[in-house]
Amino acid sequence: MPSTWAEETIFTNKAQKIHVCLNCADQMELIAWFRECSSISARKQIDKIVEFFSYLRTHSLRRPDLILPLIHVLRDIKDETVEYWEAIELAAFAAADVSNYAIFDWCCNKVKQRFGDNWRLHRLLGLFHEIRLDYKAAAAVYEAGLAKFPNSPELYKRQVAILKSLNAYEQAATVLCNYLETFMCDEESWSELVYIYMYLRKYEEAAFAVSELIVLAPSNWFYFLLLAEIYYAMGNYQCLLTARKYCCYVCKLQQNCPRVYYDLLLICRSLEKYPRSSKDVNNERLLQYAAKHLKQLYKYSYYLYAIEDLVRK
Amino acid sequence: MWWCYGTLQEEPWRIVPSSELLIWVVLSITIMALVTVSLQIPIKTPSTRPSLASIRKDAILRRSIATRNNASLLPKDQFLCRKHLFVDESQGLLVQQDKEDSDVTPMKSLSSLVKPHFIRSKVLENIANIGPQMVVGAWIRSMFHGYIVCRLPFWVPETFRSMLQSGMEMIGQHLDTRYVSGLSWYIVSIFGLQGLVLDKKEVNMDRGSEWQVGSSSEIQTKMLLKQEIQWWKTIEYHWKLENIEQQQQQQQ
Repeated sequence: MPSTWAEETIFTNKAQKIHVCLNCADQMELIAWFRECSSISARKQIDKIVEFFSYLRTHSLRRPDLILPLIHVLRDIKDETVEYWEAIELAAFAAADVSNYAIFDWCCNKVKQRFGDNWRLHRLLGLFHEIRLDYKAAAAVYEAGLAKFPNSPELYKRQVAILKSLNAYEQAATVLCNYLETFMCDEESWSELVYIYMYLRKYEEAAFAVSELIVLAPSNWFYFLLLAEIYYAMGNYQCLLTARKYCCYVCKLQQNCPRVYYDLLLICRSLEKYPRSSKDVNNERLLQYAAKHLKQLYKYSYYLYAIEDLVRK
Repeated sequence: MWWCYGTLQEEPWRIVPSSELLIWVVLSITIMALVTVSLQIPIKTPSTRPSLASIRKDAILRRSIATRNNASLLPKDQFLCRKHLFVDESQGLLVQQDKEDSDVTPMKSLSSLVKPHFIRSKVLENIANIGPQMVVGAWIRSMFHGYIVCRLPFWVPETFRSMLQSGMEMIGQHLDTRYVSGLSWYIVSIFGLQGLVLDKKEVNMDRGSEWQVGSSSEIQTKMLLKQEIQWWKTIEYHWKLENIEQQQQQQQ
């Protein structure tokens, strides 16, 4: 029986708001953890709170209601570890979320006192403006930050994030390409570029970006699947043949992925429309193969009827 | 002598160090080693962040190596596109970098190594790291000359004798290699504590910049660039997925 879901809006460094579903059990566990942090004795509280903040940060959970009540403990900590400063940063984001300028300023001043002027401080200030939807001010902060710290990749990424928020995808692609001319091995940025090009329906550029991802991370089967889907989207006969080969490769790497069999089914069906494919013995065989595996994967599922319907068409 | 007594019933030359050694010698030497290692505070030279040009050069090399190694996974058009990107005569990334490097004269690259601030920081770093170790080492050698501080519980080959019995050369080959002298204990403690004390996480808010350029020398980078250009010119393309459908049929 499906559990009830609560949606959480997640703020990620990838400049996209993605919705991640936390089920009720996880929510309750989070709140129980928060209550534990609030109630235990001062000596154990610090470690628990830092651990709690690390969890929130790792899972990109935006919960100012759980973070702000625990900030008073951070004021008293003298042991300055990396986790402590990450907790300070998280506290600053939480304060910005609820427009608590006092706490935000306290966090920024603390970071500035310890580390001086650095790119993280600029990012913090820029994110504060972004949260308030003041993109112009945020862009100005990032520009100033890049002038002082030109080899800070995070600031370039925030500029791309602003452009995406303003739906200026073309400009975002341009900025990202300029960034990738220097930081060529940044996998995250190449994957962001793929999604931007796909949004803009620029499939050839997207294919180039995905093949760059394949070169940087050849063990990640998902990139091969993505390339197959992009070639399928391009639509011409040669691209469909290439897409089919990549799907077969992914089938070899990942036998239990329904998506690859579904893609293979669609590609083989599209190839059937070409007269040349009548001489291709592989097409029919691969169509049967994909159908068989899809049915097998959904054998015990409620959606088997939909799969059989799909295969029958 | 109060620091040893023989137990002739077990084996000749068996030395059982006294428990007072643990307090007066072993602990003292360990504390001195800890103090010496703690003194190796890194000298706060202004952290020189790598320039964009050096980051780009490094990234071009890494990208070229990765592309060449995984070229068999790309379709032919993508492979040819990348080959053109890297080794095109006029616009190739590797070719352009090579031309820029050859514009720099050897004297210019050598002079970058002898800049005053670079030499100063290196000298100060060496003094701070090695100076205290040498001073304390000399003191331990004079104070604990001839002391055997412990016996290792495992067998040690003969080749390690000079390492474990520094200052005990007069005994020669008669002493079991498992016995450790005071000076050797100090040296081994230094290396061990360096790993424990100095490698702890330092708070560094620059952690986000993970593509810091490695410490490869300029000469090494030039050699790698030339090597990469040669590799690209001689590479033979073969698509790994050419016969993937037939291979799959055979597997079935």
